[in-house]
Parts: sequence; structure tokens; C-alpha cells
Amino acid sequence: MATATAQLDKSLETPVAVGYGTITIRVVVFDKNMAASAPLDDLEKSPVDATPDEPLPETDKKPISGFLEEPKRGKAVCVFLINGQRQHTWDNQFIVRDLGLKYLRNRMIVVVDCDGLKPEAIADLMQGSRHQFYEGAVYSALESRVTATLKADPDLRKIEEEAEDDIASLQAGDEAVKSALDQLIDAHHDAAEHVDHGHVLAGDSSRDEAAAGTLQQTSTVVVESDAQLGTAGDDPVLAIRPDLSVIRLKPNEDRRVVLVAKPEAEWKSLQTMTVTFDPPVKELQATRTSQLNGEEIALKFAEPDDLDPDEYPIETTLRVTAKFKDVAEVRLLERRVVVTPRKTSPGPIPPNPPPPLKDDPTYVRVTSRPPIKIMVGGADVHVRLRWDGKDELLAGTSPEWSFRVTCEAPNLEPVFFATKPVDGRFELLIQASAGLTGGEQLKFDVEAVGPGKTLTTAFLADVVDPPAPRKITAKISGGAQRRPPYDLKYLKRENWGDGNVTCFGDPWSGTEPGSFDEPTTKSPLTIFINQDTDLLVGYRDQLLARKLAETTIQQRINKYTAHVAFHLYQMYERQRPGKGRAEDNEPPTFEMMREEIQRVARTLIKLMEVTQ
Amino acid sequence: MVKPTMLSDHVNVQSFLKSALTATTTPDVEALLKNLPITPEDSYVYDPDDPSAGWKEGNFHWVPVGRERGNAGRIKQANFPVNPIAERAVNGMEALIEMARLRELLKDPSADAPRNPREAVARYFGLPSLDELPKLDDSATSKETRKRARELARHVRVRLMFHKASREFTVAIEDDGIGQPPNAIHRTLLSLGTTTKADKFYLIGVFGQGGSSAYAVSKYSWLVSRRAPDLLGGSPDGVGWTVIKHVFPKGRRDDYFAYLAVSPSGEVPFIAPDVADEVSIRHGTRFVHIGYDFGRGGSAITRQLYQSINHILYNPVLPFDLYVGTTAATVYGNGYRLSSLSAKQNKGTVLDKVFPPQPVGV
Repeated sequence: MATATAQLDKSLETPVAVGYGTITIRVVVFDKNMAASAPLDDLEKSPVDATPDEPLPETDKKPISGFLEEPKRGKAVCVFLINGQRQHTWDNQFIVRDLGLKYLRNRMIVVVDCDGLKPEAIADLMQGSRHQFYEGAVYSALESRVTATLKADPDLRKIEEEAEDDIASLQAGDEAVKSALDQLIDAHHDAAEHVDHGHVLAGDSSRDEAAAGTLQQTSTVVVESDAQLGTAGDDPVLAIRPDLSVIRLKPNEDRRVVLVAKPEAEWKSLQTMTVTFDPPVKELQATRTSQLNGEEIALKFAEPDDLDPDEYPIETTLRVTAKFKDVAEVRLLERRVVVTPRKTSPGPIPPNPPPPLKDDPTYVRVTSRPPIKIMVGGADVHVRLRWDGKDELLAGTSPEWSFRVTCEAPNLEPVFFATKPVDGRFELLIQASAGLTGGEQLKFDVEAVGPGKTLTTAFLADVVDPPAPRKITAKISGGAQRRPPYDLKYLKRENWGDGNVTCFGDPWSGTEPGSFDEPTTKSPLTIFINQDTDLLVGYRDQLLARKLAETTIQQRINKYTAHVAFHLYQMYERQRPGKGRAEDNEPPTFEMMREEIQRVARTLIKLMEVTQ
Repeated sequence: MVKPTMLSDHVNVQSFLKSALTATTTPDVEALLKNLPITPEDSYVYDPDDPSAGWKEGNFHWVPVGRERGNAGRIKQANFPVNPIAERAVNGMEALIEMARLRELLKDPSADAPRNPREAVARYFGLPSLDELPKLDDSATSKETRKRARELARHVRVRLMFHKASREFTVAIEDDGIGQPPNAIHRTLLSLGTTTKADKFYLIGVFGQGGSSAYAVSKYSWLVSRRAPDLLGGSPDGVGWTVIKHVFPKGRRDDYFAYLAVSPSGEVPFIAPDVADEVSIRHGTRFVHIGYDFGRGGSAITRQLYQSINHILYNPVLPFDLYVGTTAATVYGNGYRLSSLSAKQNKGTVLDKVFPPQPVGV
């Protein structure tokens, strides 16, 4: 059994006999509504070196601007100090890339005080220019420690979640558009012709329990994902409407999502479906309601009265498995579920009511939710604790109370230390030290020792291996291979005179956006797009004149092209006898079709101009 | 033995000193130098093995800073214009700490030295780390601590001046610290690569190169220094004064930085204590850097200096006063400013979290 004593005071000095010494990290996150603080009104208004009529730049409004050396740039948000003097900086890419806190990049400052480093370590870091640290071994250790400390910090994650939540609500309209577009694409595929009617070859080893049973087994599952994951599978797959990557919940509020099959028509082949949460959250209710083409799940987190606000955000994974008739593999869908506290009013988050703190504390307890997992080689784990003693009981050089933390570990005990209590709350930071092995379980006992009294609590922490790439295998069936519904060809000005290619029977010109040739026994439906039509050339020139990025211009041209091509496809479908057109109706003339596609192209360009 | 050149042999020292102390432009300095017999830099090439060779008695001569011809490599260390100002401000803080330490030793020669600069500041001035100041309560003790911090800031002053006619910046850094006796300035304030601070863990810099980088970004620099009278330790009282400039020797590539010296051993011009008293020069050191090169023009310099220096001196051991034109502000560093923000009733921050010291590289 390994024992370490953690004194909850800034004066706690970890022995520096090993390693490079110690650092102290401070992190500050600004309220998002805070305007940039003006450095000094007088300096701001009338710079002494301003030339007559010099246009003075507007103040940058980012919250941290008043605390940067160069407020117009996202520079130097993380500073390293020696004797209080800045000696090295990182820009906000550190916050985005290394900490994964994208929405805090303009609101967060990190201060690393390096005064506790050994003189030799400081000598290794410092350069004569005082410009930046030398990026050698000491620097590398410093970088790792700062990242590991902050990466999994629960306070930072909570604020990031809240920021994401705000943005998610702003993008609700976009979600709806996306959902409608998905349906359009599905409808398009459903209407496509099949060379062979699809069928699925059931695997010999498939087991019905895979979807609905309780037996834990390794199975081949099919998920909807990009081509980088596993090998190619076949329809159907499980999908969720709206198509969310994270399901965000507020306490005591319903959030409804609909589970569907893709293609939707496959829902009728569903045999069994299970919905679980990993890890289970007992307060999370899932009410299932059958619908014609899917199943609605109403999710609700019933917040218990005694829930400690520190427990937020609560995270779990929604896992849905389904078995379809005559399909061997289980279909799997997973989505992250995050429960964050409801804001009572817009504006700054009101502080939690201070807990009553006592001169004679009565408890210490763990407020982090189990399971507590230490990922081998991962970030520090922050275990939140609370006691009802006043902060000053642990202050000073000879405090009345102290905390003793012990760890029972099968092999190596990790490095851990406690933060200073603020309003009775503190954290035990456990480093994912090298030497820990996945599968181990560590037992931590926390004792608050005071005059004639000892308060205790304990928790278990599981050591887990870092996530590895999941191998998802899928057996390829012999059916459901679709023939491409069309062949897309692009024409340029130099092709206009080619007598073999016409635009609905006439020669091509600058007024024609596109046309199609009906399929023959030797060729599929061929859709022609005129890349040098006057409308498109004019639009492209406008984009170039605005000096938009090449990729932006390409995206917009692609959008135009896809819409014109899709409309030509629909025009072809509509004029087919027995398909879009009744047998006894006259087909549209070439002239009518030319006019239609010209009108569509004009409308599209106008819409794109207006919406940009 | 070469006799040191005396200012009093050539000028009225009192009026000269008054003019010297108000020299803030290039013409001001050049007018001062015109009154002195100075051997041109190309007529006297400093030889460390025989500095008297070529020395013209009765004249002032340009001697390399650190008495090292190849000093440009050590002096040109600034990457950004504000860094040398910050270094000079830190030198001023050290001068206050060193004065307090030596006074402590006068009282108790066996007193242990503080282990680091913050411990020294706590011991001698009763100040915590400056970022802790806004977190203090409203007790009388805390108010007294804050008041003491404000008073201490007045003893280190940074001034930025802009001369509209010549569109030239001048930066002055003054401290009321220990100062140097005139016969030691060439071995301390004007040294390079040698140190008197190596065993003083309560000081910050070691080789004095950080502040010297200001010479490289200025057309002229000048300094005056006077030792605290109770800490002379046998050295003569008085004021040392000199001018530092960048020298480009004809036909050579080894530019260097030189100061005006009165003797081959490198002493600077000397002003008697009674004259110094008449023009009210107390103990401490003043560096004035003229024609300071901030790179960019426009109002960005004065607009940004307060913010930049608060960023570079993020949590300085002592506060100091910054004057920009007619505006004054006390610089406590961004650490203090962040704490002030968090301490406000209507919080501007949603998180201000400090992790205790933790080991690195274990």
C-alpha cells in the first residue's frame, strides 16, 4: 500500500528531488459576454504619437483582448513565467488542438509559473534572447504536464459543453435543413433503378441474441460511418432524426429523437431493437413510442433533489442495436449523451449558492460520478470532492485540519495531489503514470484529519487502456448493387460546335445551362452541364472579384452544378411515359425543357447571390 | 598612469548636469557632447590588453560596454521593442531589493539571505505575490498592504515620451534603489558577462544583459547613478554619468556599443556629491534611451505599451509606475488584473482556478 499526504494549501511543495522540480498552473476563463477591457482610457483615446487625422483602429471585442500583448492576434494566451516575467508563450491553437476546447479559445488564459523548477531545469529552458524557451527535454516534460493537467479538467469541460450547447441551439435551423436534404437524397435513391433486386446472405454464425438478448458476445455489426471505418457493408443501417452527433439534455426536459432505418422502407423488416446506456445513468429515462417508419425515443434526465451541481456534465452513450429480418449482422447506432444544468436566465451563469461551511466539519465525500477511469497514458483524472469545513481550516503553515490520501494499487501507485479548497470543493488530480496497466483497479481512501476527529471517504478508479481503432467487419451480400442512375458530362465553350452533342436538339450556346440525353441500350441517361454558360461565368467572376478562397468558389460551383444536374435528372424522370408522365399526355417539347432548365439555373444563381 | 578627465575642467558642472538630466532628444545629447573634448571613436581603438594605448589625456573617450570590442553579439538580444523596457524595469526592482538586503545586513550581518525574489519582497516590503493582492479581504491589514504596494510602485518609474517635432521616442527607466558609486559603474551597470549577483538567489537577472539590450534599439542612451549614502561601504559618494552609443568603425564590420569614459580603466564621468545635492539627485539609477526604435509607427506604441508591458511582466515581484505622455498608471501585471476581474462582484470570469505545485518530468 502506497501512502501520500496531500496538504490542501498552495504552500504544498512536492519534493523536487526527482524530476525537474514543480510548476503551478492557473487557468482563467472569461465570461463570454464580457467586453474587452480597455487598457487605460486616456491612452486609448489620445495616443501621444497619433498623427493628425490618423484613423484609430476599433478596439477588438474578444474578452481576452485586454490581456494580450497583441490584441488583434490570438497570440500568447498561455504564458510561462519565471520570477513573474513572461519567458515563453503558446497561442490559442494549444487550446483548440491540444485541449480540444474550441469554443474557449477566445476566452481562456493559462499561466504557468515555473519558479518551482530546479535551477538546472531553468538554465536549460532560458535563452539569452529571453524570447522563448529552448524546446528540449525539460520543455517537453513541461508541455506534457500542462496538457495532462488541463485536458480533462471538469470545470473547463463543463464550460466548453455550455458553449457548445449555446451554439447547438443557434444551429437548430441548419439541422432541419440537413434533415430535409437527407430525405431528398433517400427519396432519390429509392427511385433509382436496380440491376438486381437486393437480397442478403445470412451468416452461418449469426445469433438472434445479438440484438435483443443479454449475452455479451463479439459480433460483426454494421454502422453508418465513413469509408475509413471497417469494410463496406450493406443496407439497411440505423439512423437518427434529427441527425445529431451529440444529444444534449437539460434536467427534467424531454428531448425526442426518432430512430429510423435507412432506407426507411426497411423499417418493416425490423425484428428486435434494444436501447441501452453505457455507463447506465439511473436518472435517465427513455420512453419508446412506435411510429409507422421508426421509433421515437423520449429522453429525460430526472434530476434528483440531492444532486450535487458538481456532478454535471453527466455523460453516457446511447447504444441502439437492431436485428432485421434476413440480415445476418446486427445494426448498431451510438450517440454521446450529455446532460448539462439548465440556465435560469440569459447572461452570466449565476454562482451556485454557497454551501454552509462549518468550523467543525461533518463530512467529506466524492462528488465525481463513478466509474472513475484512468486511461493509460492519458490526461490527469480530476476527482471532485467536497467537505463542509471552512476553507481557512486548511490554510496557513500549521492548519487545524489536513487531508491524507492513500492509494491501494496492485503494482504502481500513480502520482496524485489535491487542489486548494474553494467553498468546500476541491479536486484530487491523479496522473496516468507510466507503469499502470489496463484492467487494474485502484482504491483511494481520503481522510480529513482534524482535532479529535477524522472524516473519511473512498472511491475506486479503474485503469483502462486507451481506445484502439474498432474493427467492424461486414459481410458483403450479393444484392442491392445499384447502377449509377446517370452519366454526368461537362461541356466547355470549345465543345459547343461539336455536332454530335446537342442541347435538346439545338447547338450549344452561352444561354444553355445543361441538357440530357435519354438512356439507350448502350449508354445510361447522360446529363450535360455547360460549364461556360453566361450565367455561371458571370457568377464565377463575381466570386473571384470578391477574392474568395479557391475552395469556397469550388464549393459554390459544385453546389450549382449538383442542383442543375439533379433537376435535369428529375426532368428526365417526369417526361418518361408510365413513370412521371401519363401515357396519354404529350411529352414536353425540347423548347419547353430548354426554357425550364434556363429558369432553374437563373433562380439558383440568384438565390446563391442573395444568401451569400 | 593616466589622469582621469574631469568634467569640471571643461564645463560648469552644475549647469551641465541640469542639461544632462533633461536631455530627451538626439539634439539634446549631441549638444551636450559638443561641449566636451571627446576623442573620435576612430582615433581611439580600445585594446583590452593595453587600454592606455592611444589614450589622449584630458579627453573623454568611447570605451566598449563591458570593455569588450565584440559586445554587439551580447547586446543585440532583443526580439521585440518592449522586452528591453521590461528588463530595465526588473533591474529597478532588483535595486530596491538589494538596498533592503544590504540594510538588513548592516543591522544583522548573519541574517540569512532570502531564497528567492518573492521571499525577499515578502520579507522586506511585506507584499505577497502581486496576483494575490486583489484577493485580500477588506481588513485594515489588507488595506495597508495594498497601500504599501502603491507606494512602492512610485520607486520604479518607466516613462515613454514622444517628440512630435522629430517623431522620436524616448524611454526613461528610473529607480530609487541602491544605485552605484561612480567609481563602480563601469564594473556593474556597464559590465557584460560578469556578475555580482551569482550567489544572490533573491535577485532576478544574473549577467545584466537583458537591460543592455536597450542600447541596441536606441540612438543614444545615458545613465546617472548614485549609491545610497548608508551603503557606500567605503566608496566615494557622488554621481556617475555617461552616454552610450552604437559605434560603426570605419573600414570594419565589428560594430560595437561604447560609452564615454574618463580613463583607460573605464570609469565614467564623475560629479561631486555637493553638486549632486544642489540638483537634487538622490540615490538610485536612471537610464534614458533616446531615439528608441519601436519598429512600427503610428499610435500603436503608446496605445499598446501598457498592455504589452503587463503581458511581459505578467506577475512582477514589485509594481511600478508607467507614464505615457501625461498619463500615469501603476503596472501590477496581468496576474493582478486577472485576479481583480475575478474578485469583482459582477464577475468577468467564470473560472479562475489555480492548481497547486506539481512535479514535472517524474
